[in-house]
Amino acid sequence: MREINLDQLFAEFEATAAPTFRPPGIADLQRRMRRRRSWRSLLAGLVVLLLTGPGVYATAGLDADRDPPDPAPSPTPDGQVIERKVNPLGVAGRLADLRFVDARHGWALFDTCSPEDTDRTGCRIDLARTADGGATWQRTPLPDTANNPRWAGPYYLLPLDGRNLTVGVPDGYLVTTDGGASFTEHPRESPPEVTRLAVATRRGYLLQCPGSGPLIEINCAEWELARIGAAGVLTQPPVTLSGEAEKGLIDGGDGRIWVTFRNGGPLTVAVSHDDAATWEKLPAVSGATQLLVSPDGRDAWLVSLTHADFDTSAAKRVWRMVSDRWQERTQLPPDTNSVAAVNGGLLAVTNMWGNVGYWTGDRYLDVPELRRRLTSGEHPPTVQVLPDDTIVVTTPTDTTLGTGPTQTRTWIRHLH
Amino acid sequence: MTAAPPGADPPPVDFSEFYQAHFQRVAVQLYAYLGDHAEAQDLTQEAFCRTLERWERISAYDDPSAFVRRVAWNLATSRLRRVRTAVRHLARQREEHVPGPGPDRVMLLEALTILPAAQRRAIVLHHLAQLTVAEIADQLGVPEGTVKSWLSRARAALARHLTERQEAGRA
Repeated sequence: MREINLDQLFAEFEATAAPTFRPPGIADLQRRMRRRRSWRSLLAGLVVLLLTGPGVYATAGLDADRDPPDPAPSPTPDGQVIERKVNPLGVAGRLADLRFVDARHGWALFDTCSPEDTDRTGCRIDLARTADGGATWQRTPLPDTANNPRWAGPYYLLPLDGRNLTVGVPDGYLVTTDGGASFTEHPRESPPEVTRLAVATRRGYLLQCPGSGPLIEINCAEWELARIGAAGVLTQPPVTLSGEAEKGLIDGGDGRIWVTFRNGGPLTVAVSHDDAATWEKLPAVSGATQLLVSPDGRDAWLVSLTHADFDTSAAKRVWRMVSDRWQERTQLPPDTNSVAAVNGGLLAVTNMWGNVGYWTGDRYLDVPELRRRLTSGEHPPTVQVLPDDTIVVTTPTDTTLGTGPTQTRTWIRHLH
Repeated sequence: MTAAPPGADPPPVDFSEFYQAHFQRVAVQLYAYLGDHAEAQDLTQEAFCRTLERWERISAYDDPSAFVRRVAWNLATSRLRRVRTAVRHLARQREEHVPGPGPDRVMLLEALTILPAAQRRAIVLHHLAQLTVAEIADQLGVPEGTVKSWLSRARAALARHLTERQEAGRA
């Protein structure tokens, strides 16, 4: 048996493959850069959403014009995971985007091509909606313009709730405010208020560049807190929200607004109890990197864990706010890779082996029915919590909802 | 990625030279990792685009190539997580305007696909980006012991697979 020389094999691979890659000219690169900037403006809201994290939604029930919260499905008596395939009748293509807004309502976007394909000749996108937690999906026809774009660009979902949704398409925005029964079309430069609200907190707060128009600019040296539809200037939190730093905004379900800021050093947290009229800057906690607030706003936590620098050897420290002071608790298990706050004084956690559980601040409580189920090999799950306290665990191949109070939850796994 | 210490800024590097010098090397790494020529070209271009946007700052780094490599690999890892369809695969095949890969490239690419993504990342970074175990651990955010384990398993699996292919070819 001849010995395999990997060094030589890789060297030969590089030598033969390298000439097949031709770097485009600098001018092409600059054109691409300009296109990216243009798209970034369009997608700014989405970026804000990602930067601020799932906690921005934590104000369920505060707005009267939105879907009232429905009772969550009753727990399955046998403790088994319910599995469902997101496969609506009459819809072609792969699932490109799946977004639940609460335990019952969700939107699914299907695409026969990749969102990145610049040539979309013959491609088709389709939309479906569920109002029963994914038990059934109804195809929701989109206007023809969705499949006849004049430009190349991404498609994405910006749901506000079960009735209000924006579908971002290359030419602009398709907006429904009646659960998909009808859509209105809006140009790229003029997103309607429902679109902007979809990237803000439930009460319309967001972080953006000063003087932003409807497109919500984020390319500036210093951001500010703003509120969609509000007249006048808000009192700004007592922190410098520099453009390159990590920033967060959480609209607590109890009415408190939290702004976080971190630029390599300790996490700075400012909180307002009166709709951003006055602010209190909390003492910095060395080692903390992320603020978590439960959907009802009652529980606030700090953790020394970020998705970007996940490391099994690093300590996963936890602090809980008790009587307006941060109190350090027992560290999270070292293999924890994702964490979110749920109601009832618990953290929902996932680990790199695909397990899901809760952290009380002192000990780990396993969810045995999900043990090692939510992983696709090398991609561990991530967890977030919706405004109605529904836990959402996501992997590249499935989205699992945990509904019900505290640890008594029904787990429904939606296969992509 | 390390920034130059204050007061010891190296002379700015010309982006055009940097781009020409590093594009193919980064693209080959992503090609080996993704197994998709068009994606590798596209993601490499995107990584350099992002580098160009911040060039004034990045050109002062000790090693600007570490920045573009890290961006490119982050993009590739993110891209690989997305579900691919046969439709998309066929579309990509149509877009590929380069000569088809030779037998050796096919063999290595095919062998790399049998590895879990983490092991594939590690072995490509080691053999094509010439990174040390410590540098790979730093880039991937894992302990060095984990990288050593990935490399060891990847080498064994590659050797086993390639040997079987050779023997099958001779039979």
